[in-house]
Amino acid sequence: MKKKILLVDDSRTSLMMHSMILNKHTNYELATASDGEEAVRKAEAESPDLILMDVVMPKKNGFETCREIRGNQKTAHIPVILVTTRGEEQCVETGFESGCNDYITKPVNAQELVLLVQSYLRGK
Amino acid sequence: MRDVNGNKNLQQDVLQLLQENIALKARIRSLEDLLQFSRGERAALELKLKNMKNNTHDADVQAAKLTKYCDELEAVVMAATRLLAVCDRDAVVHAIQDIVANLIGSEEMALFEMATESYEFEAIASCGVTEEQCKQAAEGLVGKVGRSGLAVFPRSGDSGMSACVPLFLDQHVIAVIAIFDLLPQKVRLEQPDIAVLKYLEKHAGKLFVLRSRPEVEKHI
Repeated sequence: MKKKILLVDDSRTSLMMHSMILNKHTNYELATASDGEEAVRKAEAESPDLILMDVVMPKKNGFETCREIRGNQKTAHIPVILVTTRGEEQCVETGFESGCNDYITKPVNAQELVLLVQSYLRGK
Repeated sequence: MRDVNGNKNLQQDVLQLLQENIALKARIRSLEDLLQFSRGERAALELKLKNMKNNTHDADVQAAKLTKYCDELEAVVMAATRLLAVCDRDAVVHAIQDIVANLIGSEEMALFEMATESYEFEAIASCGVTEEQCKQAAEGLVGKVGRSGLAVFPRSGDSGMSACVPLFLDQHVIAVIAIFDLLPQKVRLEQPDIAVLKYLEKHAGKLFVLRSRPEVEKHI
């Protein structure tokens, strides 16, 4: 069965870019959500193997969404990679405090993204 | 009697040594021939290897060029897909901001439009920059780019900008995109970024007007 990645971003350009990179270099199934609330719903309904999520989003930001995903028994085990435009240390710290497994900065480098995603999905 | 026999033996030994010497010389000659042949072979193989290396290098250079070109095309396709999906003027502005933020990598930008009466450029949308910065830009580089119609990608930080790109409708500049600082992790604009900005330069202006005036689009 194909492994599934849930891409979460309010930017259509980002969603398109990440989808294009992952479709080109990997064979994973992709699902998308455009805000935090939709991400929480889809994480529970679709049980993805990995979540790749933006930080700055309407309704619920990436940190809040990550905390909610971690707090839900059904989704707590799913690795979360945050995609952020803010590479500052404080922001990264907040991300790890919210329970994310890793982070990558925008605009993403295709090779870096593929390697990071594969490192979480290869062993699963 | 013993001396005669001794001499005979000695003569036989000398004869044998001479024969061995001749045989060895012949062997050395044939080995020298073989060595010379091998050297020739080696030189030919080295030349072949050198040619192969050159060919591989050429192929690598070609592959790198193609990869770069593909990256540029991908970036332009993404920008085009994003831009063409919008249906009104506000969405065009938002799409341009989205492309600059997420594809190019800057959260500090402003979009200037030429006022129909004054022919001055006014900021109609901005993010991450102050009104004062927009005003200064309009009076400086944005105005210059608007008048010349030539995109500028300043390398030094004097202007405070990373790119200033005119948007055309036919041959007229109707708007200017000003990109100030790039994201901290983005060192400089790469070739795909320039390709995206060149695409916006050519096509975003048209879309800007068409989506503002749907009746024109219907007519076209």
